[in-house]
Amino acid sequence: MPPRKKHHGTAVKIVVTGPFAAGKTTLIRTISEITVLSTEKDITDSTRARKNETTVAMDFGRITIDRDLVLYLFGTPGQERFDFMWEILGEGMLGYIVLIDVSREDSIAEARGILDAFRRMANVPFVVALNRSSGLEQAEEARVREVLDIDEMIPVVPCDAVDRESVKAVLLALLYSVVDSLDAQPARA
Amino acid sequence: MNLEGSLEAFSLPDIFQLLSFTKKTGALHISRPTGRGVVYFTTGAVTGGTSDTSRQSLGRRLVGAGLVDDDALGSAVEAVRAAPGTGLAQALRDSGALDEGVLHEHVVEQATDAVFDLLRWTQGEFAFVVDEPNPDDLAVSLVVEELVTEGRARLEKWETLTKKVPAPDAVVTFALAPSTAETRLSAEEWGLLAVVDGERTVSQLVALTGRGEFATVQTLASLVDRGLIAVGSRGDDEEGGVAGLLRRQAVLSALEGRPEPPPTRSRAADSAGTGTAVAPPVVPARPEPIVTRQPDFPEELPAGMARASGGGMRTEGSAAIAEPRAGVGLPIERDPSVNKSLLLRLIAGVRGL
Repeated sequence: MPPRKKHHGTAVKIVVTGPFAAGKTTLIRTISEITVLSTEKDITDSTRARKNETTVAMDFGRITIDRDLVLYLFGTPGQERFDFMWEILGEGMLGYIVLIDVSREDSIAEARGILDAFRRMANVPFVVALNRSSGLEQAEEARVREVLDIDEMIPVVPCDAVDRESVKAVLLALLYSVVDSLDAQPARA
Repeated sequence: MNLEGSLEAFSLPDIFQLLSFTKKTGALHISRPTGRGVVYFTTGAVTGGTSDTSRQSLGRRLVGAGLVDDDALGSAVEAVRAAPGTGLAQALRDSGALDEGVLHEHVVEQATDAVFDLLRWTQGEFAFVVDEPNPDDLAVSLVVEELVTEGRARLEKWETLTKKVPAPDAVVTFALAPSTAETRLSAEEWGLLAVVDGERTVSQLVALTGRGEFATVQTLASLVDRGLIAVGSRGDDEEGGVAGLLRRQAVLSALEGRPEPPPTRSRAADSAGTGTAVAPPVVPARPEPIVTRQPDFPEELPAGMARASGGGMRTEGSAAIAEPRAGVGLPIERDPSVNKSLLLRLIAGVRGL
């Protein structure tokens, strides 16, 4: 994907991924300044117990940073049958957020597969955000790190997807990770 | 996939970015009560467009630039009629009447003008129709951000230009005495002056030249700056124009011993000073076919557009989003244009939300 900086304006992209019903759409809706494009459709009976509808294509939100800089948020569909979308949405991204519903054990397990796919697909920074966690207990963080097989360098942050300040904190954690990655690996000429 | 909604909910740059980021192919139709436009995308890049689907905008541009003779144009129109779905520019290329490079240049100008025009639409409906082909696809591929950036740059200039060329229905007239002693005209300026007749309005000149509203108004503003033309409402006091000249000559006639008809600002006053009564014009008033003529083959409103509703936006299905990334297998790397300065701006911006 060509650089998105052209003369006057720059658009950058962050992808929000994670298991089904982890709260990705909610997170983007909480922080986006535009009505989020939700592409949700009826789902099968097997998943209806958890959620009445799910994202089948993407969520799309926008944050205007300043006159010349816009941050777009793309939410990936949570179901595996839409994993072909991930690479399309991931192209050109600054980094990504892996959102997990920490109250559901299956969400953490499901996140492992998604994270593995993203790590194979993209060599960009990411953070893990634990939705529905009031605070981050050390044991809980250790358990998530073990299941996801991520080291101490990867930020794992608590998140309440309906709380704007909490979502801001997740975004900032990712942005600082990107800064760190720049410091560690200077941009190629 | 259907993607439709209102421009009140989603601005056009956002829609463009979405289609670009997700590498969509198809046609984005935009409508408002006074008109319809369309922008074509191929894998997220713009391949063409028009802000007025009731006209053959690209065809008018080519004709206005003097690139097509009667025979070539007639043959191309017949070819389009015979093969629905083919565009006029494609027909001209296929017949060899126009070089592909020349066509490419005009397609780019046309798409850029269309995006600028459409960016000024703040109300209306949009509907994206997946895989709808561009009838004039000439392998042009324009980066969305460049188009939007150019459109925004034009919008900034537009305010200044419209102070000199205030309205589409303003009449353009020649000034009798230019404000500069020596005047040099570019080919574009000459081409525009050649169709100024003291009656045509700005919008009629735009339609006649086919050059697009921004380029035409920019050229008119330049001519106004140099005192070569005046732009105003029909009937405005034209101090430097023919009406002002006739009015002052009528005042002088009191010393010349000849009766003068009362000065008027109409063309009928051209007979003033001849000593005869004002006669009705010999030449009947010129019709303005350019603005009233309907196209021979207007574009149809897609089914999706008719269903567009006033609020929000939705998509249905996902089968259209199945094209894999080119070069699949290579890991996505950090964009090399991302630097610390940009990141610090992002951090400050997110902190300030």
